[in-house]
Amino acid sequence: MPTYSLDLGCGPTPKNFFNADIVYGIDVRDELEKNIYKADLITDKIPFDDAFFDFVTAHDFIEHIPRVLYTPNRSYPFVELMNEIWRVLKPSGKLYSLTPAFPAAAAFFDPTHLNFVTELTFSEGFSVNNPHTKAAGFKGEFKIESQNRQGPYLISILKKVEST
Amino acid sequence: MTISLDLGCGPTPKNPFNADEVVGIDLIAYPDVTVLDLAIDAIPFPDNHFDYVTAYDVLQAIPRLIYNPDRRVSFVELMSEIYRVLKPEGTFLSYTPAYPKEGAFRDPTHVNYITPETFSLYFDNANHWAAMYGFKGGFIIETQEWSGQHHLVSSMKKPLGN
Repeated sequence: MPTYSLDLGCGPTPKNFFNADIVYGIDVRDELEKNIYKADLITDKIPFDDAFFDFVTAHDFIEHIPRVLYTPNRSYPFVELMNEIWRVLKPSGKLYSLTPAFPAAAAFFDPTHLNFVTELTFSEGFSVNNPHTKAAGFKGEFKIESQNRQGPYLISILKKVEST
Repeated sequence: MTISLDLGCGPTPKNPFNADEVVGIDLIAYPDVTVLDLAIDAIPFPDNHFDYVTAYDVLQAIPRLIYNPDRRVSFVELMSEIYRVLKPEGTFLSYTPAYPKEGAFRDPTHVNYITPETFSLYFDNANHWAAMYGFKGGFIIETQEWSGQHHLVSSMKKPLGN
């Protein structure tokens, strides 16, 4: 069975952190290369079926996703994105996230950064019964496999678990 | 006869001032709670109605700017609404995680990063800087202190004669 990985906000070359056999990418640009699909993940679903991927990766991506948006109806794009990642992952599939994080200046200095995560954002927001994210529509559940800092970056590997 | 309003109250509106009557507002429909979105909607009560307004873990979830589709500076508008529904000498109590504490940023639904200067420079009756964004009011900041690891507790009063 080949393994499949999806790289979010991939640019011209989808990254393959987990060395999967087949790699797809999603990007918001118009001119797309082979195996790259166009979607704006702030408003769009991930254009793949449930439980399609063994892995999802997000390099320098999460910090660009707003937490609350009115278009004009209220939505929670960061929570919805985590729902979508959870949906397209196979059981026990893994998410790799690399994002600049609080309190590093790099989390804040880029004029397009909107989502200032901390070392507890994933563990408390998406892996336990958090009333705020539940109220915002979070349906999945992740467990932290590992998390560490490299300079301004927070590198997190999360495993999909069936929601309880 | 005193009356208190608890914003974002959840299932049980809080009543820290032991008012005779308590009214709750939330985004979620709990029994006996008024449902509305404080980022968009006015507070559905007349001017000078409440002795107290409280907001426990609420202001950090109020966006500063939305287009729905018209532009609205939601946090500033909410502060104007709180001021409007308070009686003169009425008290607003805010309990919110604040900068530079990690808890201000942690939760995936937090969007409004308050600092200890936010109320005293923008929403007070001396500096009043939020007036340039349309804030209608001017609180007397009575006390402000850190509570626990992450929360800033701010108590402010609507002056007499407003």
